[in-house]
Amino acid sequence: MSSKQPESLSSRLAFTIAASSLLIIIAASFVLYRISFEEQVRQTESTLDQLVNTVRTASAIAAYVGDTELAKEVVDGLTSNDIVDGALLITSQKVLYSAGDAAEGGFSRRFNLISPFDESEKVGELVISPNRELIKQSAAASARRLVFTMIIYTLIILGILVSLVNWQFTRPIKKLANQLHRVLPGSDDRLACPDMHRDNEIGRLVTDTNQLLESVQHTLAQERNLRQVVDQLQKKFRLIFESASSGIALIDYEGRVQVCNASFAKLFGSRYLGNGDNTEPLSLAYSFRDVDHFHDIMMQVKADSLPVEADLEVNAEQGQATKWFHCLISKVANEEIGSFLELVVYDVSERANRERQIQKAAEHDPLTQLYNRRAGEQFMQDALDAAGQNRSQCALMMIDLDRFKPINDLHGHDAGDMVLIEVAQRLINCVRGEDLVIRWGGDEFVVFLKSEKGVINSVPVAEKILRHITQPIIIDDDTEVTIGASIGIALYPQHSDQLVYLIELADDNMYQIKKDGRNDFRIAS
Amino acid sequence: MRISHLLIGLLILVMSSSVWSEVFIVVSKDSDISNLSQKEVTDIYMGRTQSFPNGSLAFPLDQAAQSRVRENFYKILVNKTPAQINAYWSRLLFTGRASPPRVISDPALLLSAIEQNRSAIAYVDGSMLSNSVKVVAHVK
Repeated sequence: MSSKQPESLSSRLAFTIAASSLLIIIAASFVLYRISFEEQVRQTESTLDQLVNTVRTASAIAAYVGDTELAKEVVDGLTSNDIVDGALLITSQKVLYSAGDAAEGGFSRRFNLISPFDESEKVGELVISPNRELIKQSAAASARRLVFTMIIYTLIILGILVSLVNWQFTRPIKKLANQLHRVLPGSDDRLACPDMHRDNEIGRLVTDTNQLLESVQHTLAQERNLRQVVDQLQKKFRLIFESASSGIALIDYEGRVQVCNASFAKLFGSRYLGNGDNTEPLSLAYSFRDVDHFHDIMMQVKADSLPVEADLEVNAEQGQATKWFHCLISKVANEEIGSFLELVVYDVSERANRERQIQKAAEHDPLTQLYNRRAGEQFMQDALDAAGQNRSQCALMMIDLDRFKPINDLHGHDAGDMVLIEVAQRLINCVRGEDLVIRWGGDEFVVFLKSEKGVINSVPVAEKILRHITQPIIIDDDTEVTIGASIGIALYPQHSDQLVYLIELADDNMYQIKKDGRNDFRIAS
Repeated sequence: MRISHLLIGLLILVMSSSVWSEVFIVVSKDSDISNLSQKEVTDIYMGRTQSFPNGSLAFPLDQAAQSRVRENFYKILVNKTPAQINAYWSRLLFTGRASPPRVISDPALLLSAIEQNRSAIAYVDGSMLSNSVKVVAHVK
């Protein structure tokens, strides 16, 4: 349709009328031919009747007498007429004379011959075949004349009709169509109504079209305004999103970032954004120190649809301070885009580090950086609770330095402090990471050994501690001191399952060592 | 048979003056023909047939063209005037198939012709009936 030339209304109308006229003429030709044929046949019959009347007496006599000569005269006379194809005169016994094609078909006419002397006696028949060809020819000629007249008539009517329709309707409609084609939707262009059509259907069409154009203009203007409002709003939202100081992102349940703002990108770095190349972005979980924890949070939010807030430690790059992000994770689901997690992140490293500093200060001895007594007691209690559940053993060593006070007196407090710091370092070196080293107060330390399972062998540890502590400690270039240690050991759960008693037992045994001559260890019994 | 004919002849004699319109068709008394219908007479006289119903040849005799009896005969037999009869024959004249009856104007000659020819047939009015002829039909 679109590739075709636009059709012209008038040519289509002319074609339609011509085609239907042709059909009508064809149909009419058949009917007219039939009618004129029958009319011709009727006329011929009537002519034949008259013709027969002129020879009726002679043929009756011929039939009566059986006179072939007279019959011949009559029949030849009849067949000399061009409307007669053939004739036949018969008596009741035989054919008297026949001429031409007197076939006794449906078209031939039979006339009874009555005796000239007795009206009740039939003496023969006169059979006449009309000239069918002639009838057909005249019928066809008559039909041709009628059809020709009809065609001329139709052509005249067609011409008048087409030019009338063209002038009255097609041209105005074409003009209107061209006008409408040039109208820009939303503009204030309107159609002009032709004067002579102001009050008819074309006039109504123009009026209605103009109303439609009016409402289209109105609607488009409204829509444009609305779109401007939406655009403004969108810009503002984008501004909020893009310039927010907190990182905002949508991530899927695999932790892959779908969309994020600039702050988010700055917080996490390009590794997790996946932009630039075609590789799938890395799961955001890997940016946190505790990968599984972040993963668990995602699954929890997905299952509960409740937002979760958490401070999470981020993998710091080499040589950089630990970073902490405060994360607010909530589920967003939308039929258009599907289900995602919304992540709002801001950097709380400063606060978190400060908090950790404070906590560390509360838990640690500022001089040796070991746990202080209060924190140590708490951790030991926790360790005992865990050991109770794990059915594992613990050992509590109470360590008191020997010959420490003279160092303070002889070399000053700074030297004493250096000794304490060195001892703390050596104690840490003697135990495993999970074991606790506590500054109990003054020159007293507690070492708490944990075991995941099975028995604990505290003897080698105690020996190792003694060996290390008794190594000389260099204060400065020309000062070197040597100290010793008295160690009392209490075991959980052999000696007690109460921290207080374990401490007491270890303490008692440590004093026992002190009394016995120092620099040794003793396990409670 | 003969008596009845005689009686009829007598009757005709009595009434001849007044009932002239009756015409008798007669043949030789020796003829085998004894009776003819009006149609058979018509066919013989109008040239349709040249024989009697029994197959023997028929030879019709006509009376004088202007005679009363002739006019009567054709009037009664086929309801035609002498002029029409003449026209009829003139149509057939040159075809050769049929010819009009031979005319014998003299009644005496006509009667003797009947007597002498067993094939002859003629029409007469009642006054001319005699023993030498046989009435085979009469028309009225």
